[in-house]
Amino acid sequence: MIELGALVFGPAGRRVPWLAIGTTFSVCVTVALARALQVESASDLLQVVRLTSVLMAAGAASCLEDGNEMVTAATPFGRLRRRLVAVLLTGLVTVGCWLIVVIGAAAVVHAPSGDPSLPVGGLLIELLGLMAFGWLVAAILMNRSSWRGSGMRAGLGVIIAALITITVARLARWLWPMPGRGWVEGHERWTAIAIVSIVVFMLTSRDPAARLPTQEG
Amino acid sequence: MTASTWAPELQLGYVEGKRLVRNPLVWIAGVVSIVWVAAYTPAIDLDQDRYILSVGYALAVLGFVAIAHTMLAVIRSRAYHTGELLDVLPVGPDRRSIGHGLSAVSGGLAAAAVTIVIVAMRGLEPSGQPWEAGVEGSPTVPQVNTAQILQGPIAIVVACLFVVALARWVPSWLIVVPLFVLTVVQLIFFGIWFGVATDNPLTWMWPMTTGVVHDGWTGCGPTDAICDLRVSGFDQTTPWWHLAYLVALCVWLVTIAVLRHRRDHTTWMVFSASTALVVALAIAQTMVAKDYVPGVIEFAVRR
Repeated sequence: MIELGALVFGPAGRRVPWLAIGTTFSVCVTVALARALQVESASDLLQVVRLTSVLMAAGAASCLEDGNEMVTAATPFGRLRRRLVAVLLTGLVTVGCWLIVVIGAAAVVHAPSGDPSLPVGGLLIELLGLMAFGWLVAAILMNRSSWRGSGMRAGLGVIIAALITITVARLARWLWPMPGRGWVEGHERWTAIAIVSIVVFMLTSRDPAARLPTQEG
Repeated sequence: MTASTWAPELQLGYVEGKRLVRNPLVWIAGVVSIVWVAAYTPAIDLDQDRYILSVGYALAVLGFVAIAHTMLAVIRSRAYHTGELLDVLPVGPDRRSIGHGLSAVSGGLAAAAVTIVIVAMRGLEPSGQPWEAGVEGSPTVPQVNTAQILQGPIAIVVACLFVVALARWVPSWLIVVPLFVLTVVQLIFFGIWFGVATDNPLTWMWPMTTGVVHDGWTGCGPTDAICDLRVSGFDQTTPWWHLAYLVALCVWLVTIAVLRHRRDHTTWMVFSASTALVVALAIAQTMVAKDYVPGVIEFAVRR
């Protein structure tokens, strides 16, 4: 069992973009702590947390790059399953790092008692939606061209898409609501984005050699 | 030195520039910028928003796309393992850095085209119109001038050259992470939030600045008995110094990029001269901004 785990998660662990996640984590920790020292309420950290989400999702988008696919493609462990393992591990690492940034920054704020806390649940949904979107972009790019460079282009795609949603007022209201009115609806949209992205990602990641399921099975 | 000596740099600059301008994302970003300004609604939004967007802040998305494209162009040889192939060419990475620097001009041209559309769409108020809602008639407040309109495209060129220099020294796509943070800081802390006072010297060090002079003029509303309402307007002198500072920054950043691969006497000379020029202009614009005196406004005390 341990050998099987090492066989599956060892190579998958190597596919986690440690450098990208480490770099974004370092930058985000610095920015979040610098901001936390300036504000007097944890809720003022909302924009910094969103910035962290965008950057960490951009870093996580590069986990699909697999230089060894020429070799692993011949194994019985299909492309979709290989990608899902990489995505799962990268997602766990990214969410862990994100939580450290958010909880750490919120702890540093000198907030008076009764101060409204950060809505971590909703913000986590935004992070998951952004990550799913990044993986979808990466999968589409890899289908259209080679794996090389797809991660960084997908990461840039996440950042540019986020920047566009900030500047178009209607999109900003839909996707980046402030706590209160529109918060729940906004996160329903993020949930929809995450689900649709994951489904299309899975369809895009199917093994190109695999036949479509038929009625006969 | 003849024109043919520079032919490879010019050719690379032309090719990379054409790639940038033909990138569909650049077009989409341009449309986003225009939509951003078009979404301005006089009845709802503040007049200030329109001015802030027209001095270059509407080009934020276009600027970031140009930055990303330039970064990918500079690290392309490394990302796709073709550096060894390029190394056999008679033109080394130092001269290719100059070519990449020249390609940044196309980012500026794309930004200039979008700026022309924005200005044509919304126009600029003739000098003398009130800047703040509720203050009518007097005072005569100077508006955004040509230097501030030119600021946007030149700031995009500076941003692209900054990326060329950074990517030459740190050849990784991950430089996009601090670059995005810097873009957000430029946008939010030194930009769209127009309450930022421009008498802070740091404000003028960034590529884009609002040029707003807070409470520099005095005016009044139609029903005010005494004309003692403080009104904000635009600095008319410092933006020209700021433009000169940005042009000097361009030379300085290209030199930093070239220094990664060539450290000869000429490069160090250009680097020293451009550093001195950047520092001198940075100090000059700060002093001019600090000493800027708004025009004398005549106001009448209503009786």
